[in-house]
Amino acid sequence: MVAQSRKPYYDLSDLVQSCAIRGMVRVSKQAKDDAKGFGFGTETRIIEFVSLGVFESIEHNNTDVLDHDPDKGSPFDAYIFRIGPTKHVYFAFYKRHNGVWIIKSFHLPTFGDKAPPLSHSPFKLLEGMKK
Amino acid sequence: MNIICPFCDSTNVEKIEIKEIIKVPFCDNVVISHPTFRCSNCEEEGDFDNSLDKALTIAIDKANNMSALSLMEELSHNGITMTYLEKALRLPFRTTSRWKRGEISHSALALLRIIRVSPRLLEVADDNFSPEAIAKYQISRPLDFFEKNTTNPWVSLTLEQNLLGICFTGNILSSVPHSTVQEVKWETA
Repeated sequence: MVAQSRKPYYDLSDLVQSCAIRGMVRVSKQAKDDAKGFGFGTETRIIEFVSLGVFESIEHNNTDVLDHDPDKGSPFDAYIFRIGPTKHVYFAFYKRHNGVWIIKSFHLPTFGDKAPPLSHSPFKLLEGMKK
Repeated sequence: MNIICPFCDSTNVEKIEIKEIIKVPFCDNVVISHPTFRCSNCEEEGDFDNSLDKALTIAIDKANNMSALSLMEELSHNGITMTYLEKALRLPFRTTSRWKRGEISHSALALLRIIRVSPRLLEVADDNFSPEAIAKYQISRPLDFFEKNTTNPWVSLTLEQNLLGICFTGNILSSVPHSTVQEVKWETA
């Protein structure tokens, strides 16, 4: 693992600008599936959102290298930004040798102060009262 | 022409048909069957040649738009006519007729869903978003809960040295609450 103090490898604005060019940004199947939890139904919708370049309270989370083929060794950047009043998104991407950007992660942070607490289910009590 | 996987450059790509469950608010889920590309090398899936996502987007929009009619019928069933909705929201009359014919925008559908969640917002809009109507709406939320879940709901207000106090009291129903509107007594100190 690379220390979190490492600076981002890519310029985020390059990714944002590339969203305007059809086919230059791709979203992995896993990221597409995860993004549905945030209301993004299609790859196009995710790319449209990224193309706005509006990432609230964005923080660089990590920069590391991919550990699997076909782009093993390529660096990726990970950020966490806020989406809506309370939710945060862990967002990771890299650029392939052919210039195509791959969004590899788009999910809730799994740890840290931005991760949703596992026990956070405030409406359980109300559900119990209905019965 | 061979389709190339944008994730691994493999040409070992096939076009497959997948079924996707679309959750439509206040309606049954819709299953959309649509084509996509799948790479047998890296197992990624997607619109590799930029030709398929548009049709999927249209299908999702269509599924959502179809829910508008049932939302409007439900509102009418609960005493909210479309004429009143148009009047309250200051919409041109017969706007909802277009919605019923499927000519509905994303924002109009979102508005219908919000009204479905909280029909009392129409009263606020009808009163031109006056501070009094907004205050009445805001206070109505816990009151709704009490009306539905208690007998003899009682609200008392106190005002002492610029400090407003609101107290809700009622006997909690043990059975499933009925939908009959009960009279709510107000008492000011």
